[in-house]
Amino acid sequence: MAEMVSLGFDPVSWIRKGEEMGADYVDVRYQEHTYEFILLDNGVVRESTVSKSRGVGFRVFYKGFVGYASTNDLNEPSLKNALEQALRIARALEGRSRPARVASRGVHRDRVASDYSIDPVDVDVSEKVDLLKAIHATLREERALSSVVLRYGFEKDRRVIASSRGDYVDFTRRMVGVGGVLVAQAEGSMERLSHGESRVAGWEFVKNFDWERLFKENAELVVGALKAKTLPPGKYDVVLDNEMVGLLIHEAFGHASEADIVMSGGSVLENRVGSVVASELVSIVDDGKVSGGVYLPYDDEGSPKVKVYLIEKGVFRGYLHNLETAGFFNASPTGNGRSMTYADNVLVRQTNIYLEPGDWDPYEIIQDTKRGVYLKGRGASGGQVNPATGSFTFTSGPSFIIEGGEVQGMIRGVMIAGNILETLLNVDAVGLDLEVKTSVFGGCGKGGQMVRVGDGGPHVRVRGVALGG
Amino acid sequence: MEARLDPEAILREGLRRGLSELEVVVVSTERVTASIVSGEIKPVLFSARTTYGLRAAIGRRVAGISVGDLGTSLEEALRDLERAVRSSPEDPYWQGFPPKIDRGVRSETYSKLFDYLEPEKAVELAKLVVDSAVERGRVVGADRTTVMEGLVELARVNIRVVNTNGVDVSERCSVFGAYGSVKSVFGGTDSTYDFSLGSRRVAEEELVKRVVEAVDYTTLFRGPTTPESGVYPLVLAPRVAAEVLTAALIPAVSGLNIVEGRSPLKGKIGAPVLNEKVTIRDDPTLPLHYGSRSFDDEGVGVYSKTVFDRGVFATPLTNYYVSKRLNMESTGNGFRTLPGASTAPAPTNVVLENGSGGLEEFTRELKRGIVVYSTIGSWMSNFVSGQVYFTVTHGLLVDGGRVRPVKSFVVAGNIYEWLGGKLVEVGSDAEVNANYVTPSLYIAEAKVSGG
Repeated sequence: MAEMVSLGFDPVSWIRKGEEMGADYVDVRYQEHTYEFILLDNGVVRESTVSKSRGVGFRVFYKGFVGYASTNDLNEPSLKNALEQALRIARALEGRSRPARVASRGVHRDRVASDYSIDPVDVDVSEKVDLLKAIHATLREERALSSVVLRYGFEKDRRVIASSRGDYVDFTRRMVGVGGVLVAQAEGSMERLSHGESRVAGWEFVKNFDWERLFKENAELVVGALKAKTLPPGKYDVVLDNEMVGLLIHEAFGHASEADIVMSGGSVLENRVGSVVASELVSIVDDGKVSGGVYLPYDDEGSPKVKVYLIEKGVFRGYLHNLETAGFFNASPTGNGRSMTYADNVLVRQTNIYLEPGDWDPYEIIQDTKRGVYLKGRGASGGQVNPATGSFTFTSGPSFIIEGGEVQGMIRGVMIAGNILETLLNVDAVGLDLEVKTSVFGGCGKGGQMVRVGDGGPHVRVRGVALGG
Repeated sequence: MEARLDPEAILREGLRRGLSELEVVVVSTERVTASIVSGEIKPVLFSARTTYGLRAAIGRRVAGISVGDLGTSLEEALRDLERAVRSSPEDPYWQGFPPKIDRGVRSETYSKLFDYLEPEKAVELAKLVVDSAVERGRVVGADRTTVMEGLVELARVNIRVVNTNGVDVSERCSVFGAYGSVKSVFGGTDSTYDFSLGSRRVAEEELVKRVVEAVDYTTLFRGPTTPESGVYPLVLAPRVAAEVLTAALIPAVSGLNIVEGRSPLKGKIGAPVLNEKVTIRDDPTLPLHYGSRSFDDEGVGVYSKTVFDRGVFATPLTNYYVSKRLNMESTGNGFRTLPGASTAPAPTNVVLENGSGGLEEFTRELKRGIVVYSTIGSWMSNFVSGQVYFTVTHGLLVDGGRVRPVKSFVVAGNIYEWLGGKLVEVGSDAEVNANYVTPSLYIAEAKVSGG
């Protein structure tokens, strides 16, 4: 009953109703979501909004056929209608689809919230605006900046997952961050740089961070990029910084190891478990609790997120799973069943993917590189992969030429292209400086759904990478 | 779904509380989707959601809230809104919410087929996708063809915009979307290709055509290699042309980006910036097209306008706020990411006018060059600098009469060069991809980073 009071409805009673209506298995996903966003556009508050939403999604299994339905109207008739609709869909699929089998696992009942000291909800909007204005004021002296957009974001995401199995997981995460897009202009040339910092934390993170230093560095970078050369197209030896390594492994390996993509026949990693797919210096992990990343102790099916080695010393160890793919592959669920909202279906998604540190000092990697490119992630736009063809791509921020073991002149951001089954084989140096990051302003897109993720790693050198820009 | 909060009551009560003006947006969406996984139809979803956007001002203090919790009372919503507005600093450029601006345009945005939004229809269309692919696979001689993953979406959306300055408009829109990846196996070798479609009508014939085309392309792109790095003439298929415009050019015509100093088109209204072969329209009146509307998200009437007229930058796209700052009429392009967010200028349907020739003719004309059919990463192009880049997943290398498939290389250049001095021809083979209508493009040279 306490659960009903806290949510405004009782998930367990709706599970029972679904079972009485003929469902073999029901799970209920409840979500309360708050997003606060402030945007300061050239010193003027262009946006100050708070979005609040709440809703319930039902997933019903009937003879292995699955129906989803959701509503953001939590009164009894609407919930009943959604539950009936989910069951109707599941029944309608009988004979038109292949039944699914969910993996068995233990029951989980837990209530957990991410750490924070000061709830950003309790901080007045004026203090947040003042912070952005202070950053803006420090950038005014940089005359080459033609546009400064600064933003503050806060997300509180509470999810409750209950199931016929007996699971009842109630999880709340708070994320906060500040970012900005700086545009520089001189002599008919324009360049931009987008960058920010986010944490799973409260207002204390924003309050204690040296934003003015960060954005001054960003301003220097974007102004420098105005005069920077573009790189001649070709293949280069590259040293990737921590953020670039995160992008590389998220795109170059993470997506292809998601078991729903493998199950569909759309991954070049199909039938590759146990084979060498990377240099022996490479070990890649997906972990829901690593420092700096997004905090995910449970997934959206109530499965605990376990630390998974995708690659261990160059050998591919296995896929990321939700309950259905684990059932299909006779594997254990890894806690990677995630959905964007209560209204979306559960896909297999990465949480925080990172490359484990090695023993190279990052400076030694540069010194050991005769000629190449030092690719920096600050200002990078992201990446994309086609796991079926194996092609992946991502961009860098303003970066640097390496000549004779020294970092030389700046180049404008470049685009990197590669192939999943080739690129990681060419890693020949892995640093010891692990760093993982996440963002409250974006995430990873798949199947029309965006979820928060984290990624990172140490500095890494890869030989012979195609760069263009 | 019926709206819980009464927009008129929100306006009335908000004014009584001392808010000087208010705007209420109500978006109700009902949506069914059927997914395809490895040729099987699953899962199928139904969702119903109503979200309220409340924005208000006190003088020049402006703020907004989005309410996606139907349990929220009028009192709670207005309390949150008032608190947000009172704690927001003044916007010196604020000119108020728009007055009633009706240009008499009534676009066809809703197909009656969506009156009965049943999950079975989505399942039926998903099955059509799977069956069409398998059948075509047999025709082209594949050992096996399957739809690896895909999705069919049917939705109806009701949008109502009301404000205290006299706006009260409603629009009903239907949405049909489908995408997927097909894979054919030829002698133990896989070949894949993606298809997609977006419309306001249930475009079954077009859907089948795109699935069939995707299967045909799995034969064309078998056994790709990577071309050598260098500078090549470039031909872009219609959908790639649309992707390039989306990321590298169209954001630069936003009046907001121009007025705030982040568009290279600032100060260039009336100036030739592209090749005279390039004419681009923003047209919300195309019947049942993906971006068609009668009113924008702040209730301003829309109309068709030429953005680039034979290479000359004719007009930026504006919402009411930006139009006031530019001292012009709103072009009716104010759209939102969330009901409670402010609008920003965005296109409706972007139409690149046909020239002559097309993908096949351009390919035949190439002595040595690259033809691009499909890419990843084009969205990372930079509209501020005009830099275009993407990685090719499906392309052809034409070399002295020989044509072979290529993949996994970066193509880069600058949009104002590609659509300026380096433009050889705009094709006449326009294709609709969501809210873009674009033909092929033939560009004299582009940088290629490959092997």
